[in-house]
Amino acid sequence: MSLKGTVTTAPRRVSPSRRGQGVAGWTLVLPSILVLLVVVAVPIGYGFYLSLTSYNPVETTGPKFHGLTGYLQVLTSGEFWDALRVTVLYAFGTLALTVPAALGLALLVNGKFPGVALFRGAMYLPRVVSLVAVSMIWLWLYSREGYFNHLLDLVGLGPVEFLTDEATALPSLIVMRAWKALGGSMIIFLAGLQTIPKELIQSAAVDGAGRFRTFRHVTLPLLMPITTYVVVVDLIYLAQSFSEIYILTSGGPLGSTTVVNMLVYKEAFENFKLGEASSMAFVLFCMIFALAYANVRFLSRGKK
Amino acid sequence: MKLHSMRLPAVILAAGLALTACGSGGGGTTASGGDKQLRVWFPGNLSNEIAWVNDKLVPAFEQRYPGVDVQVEFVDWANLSTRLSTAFAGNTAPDVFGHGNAAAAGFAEAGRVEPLDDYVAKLPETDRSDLTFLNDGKVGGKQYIMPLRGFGYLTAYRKDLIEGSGLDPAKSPATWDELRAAAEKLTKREGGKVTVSGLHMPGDNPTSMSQAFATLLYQAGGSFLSPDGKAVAWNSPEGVSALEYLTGLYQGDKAVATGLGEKSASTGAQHPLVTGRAAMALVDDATLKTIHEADPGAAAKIGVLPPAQKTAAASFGGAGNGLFISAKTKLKTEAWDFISFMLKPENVKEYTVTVGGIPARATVAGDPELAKLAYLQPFMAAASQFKGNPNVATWTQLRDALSKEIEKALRGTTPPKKALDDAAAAGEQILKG
Repeated sequence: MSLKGTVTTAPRRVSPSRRGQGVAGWTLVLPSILVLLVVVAVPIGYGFYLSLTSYNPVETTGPKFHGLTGYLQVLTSGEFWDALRVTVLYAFGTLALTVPAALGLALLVNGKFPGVALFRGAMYLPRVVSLVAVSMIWLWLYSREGYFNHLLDLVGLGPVEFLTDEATALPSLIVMRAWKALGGSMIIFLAGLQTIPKELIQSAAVDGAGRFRTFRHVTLPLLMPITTYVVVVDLIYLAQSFSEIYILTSGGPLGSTTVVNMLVYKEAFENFKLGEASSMAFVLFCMIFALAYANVRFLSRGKK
Repeated sequence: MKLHSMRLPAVILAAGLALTACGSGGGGTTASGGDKQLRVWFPGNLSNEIAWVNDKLVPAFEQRYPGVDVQVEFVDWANLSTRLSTAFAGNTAPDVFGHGNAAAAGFAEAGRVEPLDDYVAKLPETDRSDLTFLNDGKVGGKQYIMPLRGFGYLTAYRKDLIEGSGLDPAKSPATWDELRAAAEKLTKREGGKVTVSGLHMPGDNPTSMSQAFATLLYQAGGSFLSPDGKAVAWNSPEGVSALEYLTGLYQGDKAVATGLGEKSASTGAQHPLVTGRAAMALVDDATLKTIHEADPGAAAKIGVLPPAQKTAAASFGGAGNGLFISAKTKLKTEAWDFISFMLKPENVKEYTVTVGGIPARATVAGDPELAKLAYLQPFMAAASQFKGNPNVATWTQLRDALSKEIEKALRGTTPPKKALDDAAAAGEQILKG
């Protein structure tokens, strides 16, 4: 106790070389801080200010402050809630396909078989291709004269309007996005699998646990932090989806694929309502944050 | 020693940043010849248009006006509004920019574009009367856009499919009833599903659906707005009959069309008329041009009908894209010089050959070389029957409200009258501001 007191009351002496290190450290970090301020903090701050205004960039009058009116308009707009419902369906639909499939693939490629490295590489390939390029390819795959309809024609099934029918447009987008996300999530699960101590698996085997019981009671609980990471990160990305939807359906048919970001885009750059669009973007941010936080809490419950 | 080793990178970084800052100043573009840089944005990214503008038009202009260095940028149509609105907000709008005629009223009301009446007044009378779409570029009586070309929609048909259907090739359908009867004869079905559309209408997206509706609305004698532009008129009896006719092509046991939502505009060899998935189709001049360029063999089998009618022989069309002068440009004279240079007869002709569409000058429309272009001739012949959008500031918002409801009607989720009434209610709100 007395020792502790002595330590806290002792005068702090910083050597000149240590002070110099501090200055050098700040000098090195300063450009990054400045860049972050200029390209992240200031735009976010300005975006928040715009969300409190009515602003048509085509007009010369500039933003007109109207407080929380934009937020009220967003929260009472049926179109926004429809878009939010589509966003949630899209994000969770994609996750529901991606997470189990990625885990299954990771378990597969965690083993040793001829060509496993090639297989891993091939599965990861979609992840490194630009989403825009992938969307263009899938636009052709899904089109009336595209590959999928060609295959259906070969087996005597009628053409499917993948992207132009209300019933099939969103599921088609989900399948494409899940395919794109699969490789990346697989690699993360694979990394998680390889950190699990082999002794634990061997101990379970010695105790008489079969493959499924070992997976259920050893592998899966130990993969929970990785699963949390995959779900939360994918959820954040998926809730912000835009480019693939813009290319494949532009939000149609009948708004069945209009996610919130698509609505933000239309509001900002087709209707020139930048204020309302900013309000929408901030409401979306709050919802993504809440969803991600709830997911982290839910998936890591009882961990301690 | 340690400190020295850390100071060095900091100094290098600072120097690098300072050098970068020095290098990035001064406006970005490098003058290649003149001392006045005129920034021009063209809408679209057609490769032949880009080549013609960069290789011929701009060098010829710079030779004619040696003090001006023209910096051209081509902006994809889909991104044009986004780029322009951010450029306006950031005070970096180009001196001259192109856009569709429908945008004129909005830009004019917002004070973003320069009135061009004084410049137009200085043109010789022969020039003014020769510019076919000049009046379409007026908003509230003032000239704001100089249309570069016209466009229009006409019904094209496959001659070979008509011949095999029992229809008389010499008697082309001229009325709605005749068109519908021909479409029914030409439609092919499998298991109750239409496999070959008797009459395909543009339905790529809600906007093109509203353009198909516009064609029928004008043929029924209706209009989008009241003559003063202050009230919605698309839900008139004429409007309802137009949408019922259009919906009837897609819905019900006797549907004669399929492919709603599929891209058909400017699809060349993939157009339903070429692939054989449509026997007749409402097409615009640009789409027909892509068919002729992509598949001349198929194009030879395609004929074009004059506008059909219910009460009036008309179709959607009129002034297409044109050029504006930004209100904030410091190079107003040079900007006008560029526009008037582009509208010289020889350039109008080359632009039409390169890009397509109805020439902006009546005298050019009579050019023997253009008359030979099979994809252009029917549209030039029907130029006087094309009617465009109303020139009101909120048109794009009104059109979006209408398009959304038209799509519902075409997909069978809302009856045509209710769709138009719902759109009218939304439209009245937009007009009230």
